[in-house]
Amino acid sequence: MKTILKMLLYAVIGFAAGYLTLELLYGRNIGGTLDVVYFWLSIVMIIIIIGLLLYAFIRRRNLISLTKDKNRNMTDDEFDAYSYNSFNVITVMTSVSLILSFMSLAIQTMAAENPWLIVLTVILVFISLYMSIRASALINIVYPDRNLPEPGEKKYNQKLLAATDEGELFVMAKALYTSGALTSALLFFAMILMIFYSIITEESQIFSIILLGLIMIINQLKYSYEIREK
Amino acid sequence: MKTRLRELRARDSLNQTQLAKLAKVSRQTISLIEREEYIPSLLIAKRMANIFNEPIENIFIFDEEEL
Repeated sequence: MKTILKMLLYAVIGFAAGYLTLELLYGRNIGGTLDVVYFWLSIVMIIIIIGLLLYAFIRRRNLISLTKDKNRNMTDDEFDAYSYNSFNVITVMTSVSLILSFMSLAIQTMAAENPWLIVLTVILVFISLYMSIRASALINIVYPDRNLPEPGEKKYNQKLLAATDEGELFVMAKALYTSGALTSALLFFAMILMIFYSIITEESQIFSIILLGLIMIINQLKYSYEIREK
Repeated sequence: MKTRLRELRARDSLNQTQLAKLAKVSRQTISLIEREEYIPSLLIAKRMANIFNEPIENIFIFDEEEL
């Protein structure tokens, strides 16, 4: 699954890069070319979203049926590891599909403007949102003995953090630290990419560059504020 | 830090999930400690000592250099 997704992603990036380079070299209408690229990109996104949602749905159903099955062919430890990993995978799948569906909706409304595809992406946004909320609720099915908050409860995040034990906090801190560092690097890279994009396509990305810069500054300030000596 | 948690669990016929319930932590925490990727707090170490009826230093063993 991972390899297929990777290959698909490389194929899409390779196709887009090659197509754009050819268009740039032969000096044709870059605006029109980008619209075509965006259209096909959103089609690929829609296919990926549907695939992710289907996979998340099947994995969720399997997890729930295994949770209810008292005669499952697994030890307690194996089942706990399986359910933890399943919960993780389902959460990632639904979150990625939500992000992709918003991206696809943006492309459809601004660049491609195909009414049927706009309707389809709006539906996918709502399904992804619904599945994301349902994915959060899975934690109470996986861990019925733990006193965990229900999604939608007031101060859900604080309550969930308070219910987390020290080992889980340790794993989360390590993961957040590495993903935070990666996010900063990627945002910086995105800013540089946008500058080049603005120059090549003559489509100003100044607003997005300023927005990314502000996010990076707020992120850094928030981190410094949280770790300061009190 | 070395830990004898896995050995003591086997001695008392406990799986990670059962030990986690007794120690009031998650199974992931037990797994982390057993893999020696995480040094538990004094509170959890004391709970382990009570569960296995062993002193803390018999469960969690430090090198001289670490102390």
